[in-house]
Amino acid sequence: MIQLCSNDDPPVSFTVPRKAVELSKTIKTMLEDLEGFDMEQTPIPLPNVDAPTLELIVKWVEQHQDDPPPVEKPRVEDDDSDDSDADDDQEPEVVIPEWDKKFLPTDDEQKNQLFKLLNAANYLEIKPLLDIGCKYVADKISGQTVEWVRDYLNMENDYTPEEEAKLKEEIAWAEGL
Amino acid sequence: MAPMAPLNASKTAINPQEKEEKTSYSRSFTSLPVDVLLRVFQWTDSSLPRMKLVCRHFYNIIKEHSQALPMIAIERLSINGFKPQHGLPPNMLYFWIEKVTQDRRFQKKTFLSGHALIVDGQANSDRPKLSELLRHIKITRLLHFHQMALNESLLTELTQPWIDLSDVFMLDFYFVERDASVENGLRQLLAKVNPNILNFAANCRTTPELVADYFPEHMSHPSLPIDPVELNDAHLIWLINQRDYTLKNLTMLSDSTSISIHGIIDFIHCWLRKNPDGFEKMTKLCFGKIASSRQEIHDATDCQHMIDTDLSDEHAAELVSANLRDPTRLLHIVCRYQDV
Repeated sequence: MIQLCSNDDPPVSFTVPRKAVELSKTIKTMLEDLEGFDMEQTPIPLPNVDAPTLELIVKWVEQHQDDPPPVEKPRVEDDDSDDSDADDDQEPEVVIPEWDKKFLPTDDEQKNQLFKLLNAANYLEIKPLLDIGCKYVADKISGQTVEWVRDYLNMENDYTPEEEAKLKEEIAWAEGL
Repeated sequence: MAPMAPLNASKTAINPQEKEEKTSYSRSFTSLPVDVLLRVFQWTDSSLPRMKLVCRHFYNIIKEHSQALPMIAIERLSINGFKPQHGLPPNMLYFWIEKVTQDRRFQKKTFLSGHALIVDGQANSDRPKLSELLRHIKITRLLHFHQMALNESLLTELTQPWIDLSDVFMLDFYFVERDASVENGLRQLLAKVNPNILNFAANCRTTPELVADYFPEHMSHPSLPIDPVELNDAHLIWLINQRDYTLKNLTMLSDSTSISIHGIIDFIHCWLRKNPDGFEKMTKLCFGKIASSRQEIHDATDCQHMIDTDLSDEHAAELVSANLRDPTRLLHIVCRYQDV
């Protein structure tokens, strides 16, 4: 068993099976680097993750610890291969499983928790969790107005009225497609 | 899993202000790195261009990485230089959406086979540049410029690296005013696209021109006008049988006519009987057809299949020229249908 510590004051720790915690590439690498140390007695501090978020992470990895490993593919930004085969380049369709749909904090008042979960999944390199979180947010904001998206994502409009008018002209063709 | 106090709680204590900053930072959606935001954007489908309006951060990411993000497929894009005018041409039935902005009018039409987008007005203006309009579009058939200046500025816009013209079947400049100083720009364009897809107004013979050339008696007698809609299968066969009839490089029957798919098939067979060598090099025929039933769509598909296979396979080699075996399809049928 491995202990994970949140960034709270005082920190909160969770004890997690090693197989489950190794779904995090970050922690798996850390454990491999510290091979030989008694990690069961040494809590691992996670400075970017608070207790409620860590609790969600632990719940998710315990649920998915027996899943087959995901197929490794480079991320969009890193994928600079010139493989011209479009079929190979296409990302597999991400479908959010039923359990995960219930697991994700999807109520509007929980949206900040969802964003914290996405940040934690990214920091801990838990790609399948990051994928379903990104897919959920993408589905949520698709087809919505710009004002709705800003409100949902807690973002300010930082354009001047002139810039905004010019941009609206630029994307006018896409409205309704 | 019940939380428990850590063994080294004192070592991990955090300054409250520092913690607030950290918590605030780690709960923000925009604090996610670019590659994660791109994963979100790649699933927003046709809402992607709208995401650029949310904030500068999104705009910069989407613009910088537009070539790595999915594009929106548009079957046909027409850019018209003339000022926006309201109203649709007669005899055309579409499902369409119209949006009018300060400088342009946008019409989106949806066919069974995909979307068409028509942009009217000030294509050469900088508000916004054409290359920005095209940034998220993948044109799968026809890019058509109509009644505007073909100049260095337009060609520079078309040759921007993020514009994908790889699937364009025909790049058509129709009634464009060609600037004398465009040679360099044309060379750049030719480096980007297959020269066979380029068509200029001088090579174009459209339905009204066909009517004027081959049915002059109708043109000289205003009481007996031949409207394109009256052009029928018999006219096509009559055309073929005229001794002096030649196909120009591009023959477009793009208006609403009474020509049936079977008439087009007969026309092709008659032409091949008359000209065993097949079609002249670079010949392109485009039959625009408003289908009156779903059956016509199926017939059009069969006809296109005949063009793609029967007329271009090895068995028909003695009938057709090598041009028809060119990977670029020389014959093309646009058949549209709206379920009303």
